[in-house]
This record gives sequence, C-alpha cells and structure tokens, in this order.
Amino acid sequence: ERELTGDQLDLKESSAGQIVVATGQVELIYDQLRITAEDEGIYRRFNGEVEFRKNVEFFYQEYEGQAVELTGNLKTEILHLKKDAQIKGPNSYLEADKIDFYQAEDRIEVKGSAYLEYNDFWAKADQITYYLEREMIYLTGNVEGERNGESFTAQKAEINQQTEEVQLQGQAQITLPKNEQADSDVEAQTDAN
Amino acid sequence: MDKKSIFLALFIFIIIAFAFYFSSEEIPTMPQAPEPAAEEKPAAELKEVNFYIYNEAENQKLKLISAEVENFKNDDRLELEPVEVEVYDLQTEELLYTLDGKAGTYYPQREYLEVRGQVVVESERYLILADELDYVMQKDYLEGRGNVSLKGQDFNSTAEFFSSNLKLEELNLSKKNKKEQAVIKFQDLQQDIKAEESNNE
Repeated sequence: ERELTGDQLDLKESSAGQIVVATGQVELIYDQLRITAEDEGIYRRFNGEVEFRKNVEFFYQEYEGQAVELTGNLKTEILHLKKDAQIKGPNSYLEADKIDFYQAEDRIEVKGSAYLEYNDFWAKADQITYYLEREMIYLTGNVEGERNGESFTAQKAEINQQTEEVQLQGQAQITLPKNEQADSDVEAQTDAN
Repeated sequence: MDKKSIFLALFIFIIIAFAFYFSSEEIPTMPQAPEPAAEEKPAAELKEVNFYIYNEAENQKLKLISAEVENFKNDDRLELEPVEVEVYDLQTEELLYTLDGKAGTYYPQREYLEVRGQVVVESERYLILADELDYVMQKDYLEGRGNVSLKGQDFNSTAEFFSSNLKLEELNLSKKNKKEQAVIKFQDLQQDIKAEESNNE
C-alpha cells in the first residue's frame, strides 16, 4: 500500500516527473514504512526522494524514530533524521543530532552527540554505527559510558550484542563501582600482610 | 351599583385593554408577499448548438456544445443543458482537455463558466470527477467541489475540493471543511518493475 494524505495536496508535473506536496497533518504509507509530520511532506515520485518537516515520526518494522526533519529516498531505502533525532528499537535507543537509517542494509549511522542505550548499558560517542542484523555496535571518538556500575572511556568501543562482549580500544579506562573498589583495596591489603 | 363594584369593573376594563394592546404588539403583521418578478423569458432558445469562446490571455479556445441553450441577454447569461466543453490550444489547435456536466451557465461579460452536476474533466494525464466546477478565464483558474476524485496513470486521489490553473498543470486538492483528508494512492509497482527491467538490460 502506498499513499500520502494531508489537509491539502498539491500535484505538480515537472519535466522530470510528478511531485506531490502534502501540507497539514501529513501521513505517508509506503509498504512497511510509515512517516507522519505536522507541517509538510514532499514526495518526488520520479526519483523516490522525500522530505518531511516538523514533529516528524517514522515507523518501520519494530523500529520507530522521530526528529524535527526527515529527508530520504524511498527507492534506495535511506532515511536521514535531522535535529533531535531519536530511534527506538526492540531493546535499544539511539539519540543524536543526526541519524541515518539504511533500511536495505539494516544499518544505522548516528552522528553528533551520539547516545546509545541498550539493556543495562549506555554510552556516548562522536559517532555510533549499529548493524542491526549482525547485532554489532561500533562507537568511535570520545567514547564514554557505563555498564552495571562500571564506567569506561576510550577512543573506540565495539559491542557484540550476541555475546554481550564490550571491547575498548585507544586510551581505554575502566572505573569499577565504589564498593567493588573498596573490596579490591581490602584484598590488596590482606595479600600484603 | 355601589362604589366598590364600579371600581372593580373599571379595573377589569383596564386589564383587558392592556392585554389587548400587548397582544396586538406580538402578532407580527405578515409582510405582504412580494409580487413574483415576472419570470424573465430567454431572448432566444436554441437547439443543438456549438460555439467558440476565445481566451487569448491563456492562449486557449473553448468549444461549447449543448443540446439546449437559452440566452438571457439582459442577465448576460447563457443556460446550457447539458454542457460539453472542448478546450484547445489556440496556436497548435491541440485538444488539451474536455469538460462535461449536466448543466452549465456561461456569463459572457464576466468570462465565467459554471458547470453543475456530474462534472467530468478529462485530459491525457487526468480524469477528474466533481459535483460542480467553476471556470474563471480572467483569473486563469478553475475550481471543483464535492466528491472530488482525480485519477492519473499510476495514482488516484480523493478530496472535497480541487483547484488548478486552466492548463491543468498544478492541481491542488484539499479537504476544505470535511473531516476526511485529501488522499493520494500510488500504484508505483509498474514504474518500479519497468525501472528494474531497464536496469537489468
């Protein structure tokens, strides 16, 4: 099913093909993808390009996202969320200035104050790349985060969701939680006596 | 009759007078029904008519065809029933689209055409249905209202209202004051298959 609704629709025939502009409570349904926006939605049918503005939300399979603005291409299945971008997955949450969702490749690129939450884990980085199918997450640049009370920093981090392993690279540092630190200090002393 | 009963009678009389006075105030006097204006007779009644209207501003020529035409000269009005319009490009004589309805009214001075009842606009690109349509030559504008349906080669849409320029280039559909929104449904599949086939060649 593929349809676009709005309070008003403008159909323009350009030399390249048809352009549909919807304004006011806009909704696009395109196969498994659904996008809503408060103000405006533009769909260039000849090349698949779309643009949506103001309180944009999208819903795709078990993922849903929101942003101030969304641009993308329905044919190449790429969505760019801009300004206060967020994506919620079955067990993960991503937030950033900009999020690019590559549906066909099951990949999400998160850039600019990137933030990730996943089960008992959260992390910040300059950029996060999330491979949904392979369940691998790569964080690069000023990585910091926390897991079960252990906080860490590094230049890079790699999370394997299947094995629940987290690998830190580049000036990696882990800070244990307070109580664990005390225990390890006591142990250190008894070893010394 | 002693004083008391005189006084009582007088009092009753006053009450009746007041009652009569106030009630007469409420009964609105029905305004005289105006003499029905003498139904204007058409200056001419014509059968099986077709005539041309030239819209130089938009480089268009309209051919109006009707089984019955009544010409009301004083009113600057022609009543056509039914009405068929063929819109041509003035230069190339190409037929741009047709416009039909159960009845139509053409106002020569105002260059304005009203089409009412099962309006059908058909061009190479679109088939548009509406309850009524106004065609305003001086403003390069046409507007359709009521149960609007618009079909294209690979889409169809519905709305309460549509408007466009007289070349049917830019169409605007809207819900106007209805609850349901304007909707356009796409049938991209053909396009995609073609695109994919051409990519595979």
